[in-house]
Amino acid sequence: MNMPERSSLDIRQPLLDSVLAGLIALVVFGPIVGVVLDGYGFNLQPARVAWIVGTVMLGRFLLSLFLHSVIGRGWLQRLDGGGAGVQVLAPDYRSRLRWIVPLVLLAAVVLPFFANKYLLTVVILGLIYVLLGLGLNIVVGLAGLLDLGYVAFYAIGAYGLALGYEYLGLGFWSVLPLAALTAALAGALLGFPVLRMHGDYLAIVTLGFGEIIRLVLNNWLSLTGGPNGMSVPAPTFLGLEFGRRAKDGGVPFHEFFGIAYDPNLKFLFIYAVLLLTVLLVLYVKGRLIRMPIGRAWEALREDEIACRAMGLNHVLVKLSAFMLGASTAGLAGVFFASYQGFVNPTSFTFFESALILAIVVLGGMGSTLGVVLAAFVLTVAPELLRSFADYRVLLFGMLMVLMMIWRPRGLIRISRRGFAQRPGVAP
Amino acid sequence: MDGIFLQQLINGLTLGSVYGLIAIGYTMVYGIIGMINFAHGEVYMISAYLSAIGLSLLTFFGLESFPLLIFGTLLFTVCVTGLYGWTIERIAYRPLRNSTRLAPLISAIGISLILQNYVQLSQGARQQGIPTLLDGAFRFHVGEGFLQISYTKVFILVAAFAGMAALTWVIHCTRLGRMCRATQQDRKMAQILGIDTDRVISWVFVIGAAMAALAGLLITLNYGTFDFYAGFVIGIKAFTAAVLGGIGSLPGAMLGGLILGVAEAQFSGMVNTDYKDVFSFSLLVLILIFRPQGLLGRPQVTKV
Amino acid sequence: MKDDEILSVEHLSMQFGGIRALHDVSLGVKRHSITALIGPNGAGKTTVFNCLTGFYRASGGSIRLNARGRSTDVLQVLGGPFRAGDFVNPRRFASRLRYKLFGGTHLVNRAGLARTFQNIRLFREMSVLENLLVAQHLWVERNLLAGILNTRGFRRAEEQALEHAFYWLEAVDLADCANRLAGELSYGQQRRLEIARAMCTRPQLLCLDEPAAGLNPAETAALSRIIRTLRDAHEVTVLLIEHDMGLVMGISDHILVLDHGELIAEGPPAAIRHDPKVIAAYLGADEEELA
Repeated sequence: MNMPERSSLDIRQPLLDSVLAGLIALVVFGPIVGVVLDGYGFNLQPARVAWIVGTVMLGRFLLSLFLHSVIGRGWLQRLDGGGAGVQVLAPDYRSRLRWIVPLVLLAAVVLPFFANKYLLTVVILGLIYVLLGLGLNIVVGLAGLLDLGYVAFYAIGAYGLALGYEYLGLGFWSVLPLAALTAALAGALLGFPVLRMHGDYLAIVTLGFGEIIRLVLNNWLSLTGGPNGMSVPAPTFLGLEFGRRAKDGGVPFHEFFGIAYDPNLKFLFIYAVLLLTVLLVLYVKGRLIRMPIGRAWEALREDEIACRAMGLNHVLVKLSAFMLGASTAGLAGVFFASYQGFVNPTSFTFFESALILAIVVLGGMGSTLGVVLAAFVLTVAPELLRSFADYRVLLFGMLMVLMMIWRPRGLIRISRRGFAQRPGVAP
Repeated sequence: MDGIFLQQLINGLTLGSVYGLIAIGYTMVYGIIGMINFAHGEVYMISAYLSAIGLSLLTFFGLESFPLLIFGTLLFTVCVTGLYGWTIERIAYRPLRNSTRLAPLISAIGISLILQNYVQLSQGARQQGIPTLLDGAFRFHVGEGFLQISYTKVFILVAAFAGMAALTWVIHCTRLGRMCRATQQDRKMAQILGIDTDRVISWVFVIGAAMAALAGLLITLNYGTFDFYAGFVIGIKAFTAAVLGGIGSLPGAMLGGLILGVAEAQFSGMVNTDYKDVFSFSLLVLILIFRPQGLLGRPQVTKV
Repeated sequence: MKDDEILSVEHLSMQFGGIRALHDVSLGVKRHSITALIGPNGAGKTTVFNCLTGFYRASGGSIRLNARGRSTDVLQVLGGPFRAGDFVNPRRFASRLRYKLFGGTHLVNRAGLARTFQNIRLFREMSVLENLLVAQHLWVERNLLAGILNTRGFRRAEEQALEHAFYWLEAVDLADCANRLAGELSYGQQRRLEIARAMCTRPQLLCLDEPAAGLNPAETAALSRIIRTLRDAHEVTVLLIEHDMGLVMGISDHILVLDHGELIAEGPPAAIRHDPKVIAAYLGADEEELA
């Protein structure tokens, strides 16, 4: 084979690929994008089809060209290598990103002094999703269980506060631990029967469970107010309220401390408590991966049969991850409810579960720092780019597919802890 | 009482036969690659849109007779939806064949989000509909009341069973069906014997999508309305049907669909319509707890 | 039940659907012995193994494990189906329910039996040491609070687990691989790591499923040394399936021969070597010739 022939082949193949992709795109996208139903008639939109087909052809052409090039081939081979990307660190390894932790902490402490209400609420929302992402990360990233109804536990926390206030007169502080417990209990009831089966079933059962919870909240008008939702009390600090005037003749927070009334006080308070909770959860998660239970989760993800042969009760070990994840979502729900001041079922749709999953996927399954970053990127970015909001779900979807193809483990390389050599001691 | 029962039985059977059609997609894909196709509900939703688009295009070109209209729409819907099935497999499953077990699940969920949002963006979020094509009904007197079976329902039952019969024929009597069954039994061995298993898997996705397309057309004929969110709930229900019948088993999917449809219709007739989805989902959980292998499935032996 | 038997199996049978994989297999494994289970391909060796280690629930018969100072009924801890008698006797009902909810293969391991797998099952993306730490799950400090607060007791327990892990790594000659990924090791190293991992669960009966498969002669020799040391220095009983007759004849005290799901011969290596039934089973002689 001589040189010119080979180079002409190189261009023909991408062209062929691109034409084929264009044809498929025409058939697939043509009817839905080009023929918009309008009553029993329709409007034609050929321009949109042309755009999409053009984009697909161009994209396929470039991809094909790239994959035929030398760099692309090497890249493909690396992709096929599999298993790569995990490394064991040296026993005395210290992360080069250590300086980032105090910096972020400092920023978090300083933020309330400079932030206006809008920024504060955006950051609170971001932190709530950090909490949710961390919780789901335990379930999906560490234990390898796909929970698609994660939002159900979030709803349990949020409605726990609303219902607890309405019917039992409970406040923020008493509901916080109760919500975590209730969510964990619900997780146990759901997980115990399902976790002994093939992993995929868990995904679909949790999907169904999330939908059940939403439907019940939506339809049980007498208890939950249905689609109209329920109002939620503002949190208090040692019984002091954050309103301008306290109810029942109490003393409001600002009068008690003799400071000027600030309508942001409620959000500042939520921010402070939420930040502490997130730090606590971060710490606990950091410990968990160094504890026997964390190792057992990861081992179960790797090989369930081998775990059973080593005396691990696979159902209970998985259940513990599932319950811990659920209780974190319960906590997040309480914060969400008091932040928003009311709850209704539209906050707890499947899209919410998908968003949290996208956070975990983008952040890297099993990576803590990645999840924190991803939570902020995925929740704060759409807030700032409002015009983008319509395409949000589309982007999440593409992100999940691309991340899975490109790097099934997420953006950040997972590294395992190393231990120093020591002499063995007989049992 | 009897009238209502019979009426709901008929409604349930029609609904159930359609669930069965969608469940086939789940069951075949699970049988061959051991994974749940999470985007399958969305494939059904797409096919509902496609059938409405096909109908309005054909009427626009002056096609009036019912059989031609239905046949043309069916052909259009099945072909395009089948291509959707193929594309989904190509994008979300094939690149991940040697990846971790969780990866294809997540990418399939990504695809299902993409499809939902893309239909919403291009067709709008509002409910869409088609006009009634088949008017009239059979009426029978039963006791005090009477029983009404619309021609549409009769057509759905006939079409659904014809579709299932055709599929059974394909699986049992054609070369493709034989290759499917071989790949399901042992993918590696099939590969060694010269079967292009990648192509077989693609075909299974296409066949599943085609069955969902038939279901999409039939449901649209019956209810007349649909929206971009329709695939989610029906997807879970069809999956319930597949599990109920025993996942991996074709007759099981059909049987499970019929049972689920009848149970759901009786529940909404006798208890409450608001909670009929809750009822179906709870049924799924209960089946998984007490009989995970389903009615016609075989209990799995873990290979050590 | 004899006292010197760590494992006694009586009338074991196993059916998959209509296929009879095992029929009326009775065998005993003497304490502190090395016992080998051999037989031609498809004889049912792995099925026996999976029944003994609790991965399959046998269709009939009984399996008793006498280790860690107690006697365990393997079929019972797996959580068998309810029987009519359970519903009249509340205590039996409670025990059946308990094992149905929380029973399973792991209880067999907790009763003092550890195993390896024919197609190696390591936690490939965890480090070698972590593999061994997971195996010690039941022997470390599992209290959540102690772990989260990182108490002194927790740190001491972790340190002991690490020392113990290094002990077994040295025993199988892998100490310099401690901080490598398990999936990166060579085939022979992985086989040895699997033995070390099984030993970390502190068993009294170790079941090895084709430990020499895929090893070269030098590695096989090292393996047979390791197996002997396990028995002599650590008081472990070893039961193994193996095709390498050199290894089997060299280290076994007792050999069990399985063919077509039935036990056709048992005895010391010398007797098995010349048993006409065994030779026939391996060479495929006709039934008439035997009789």
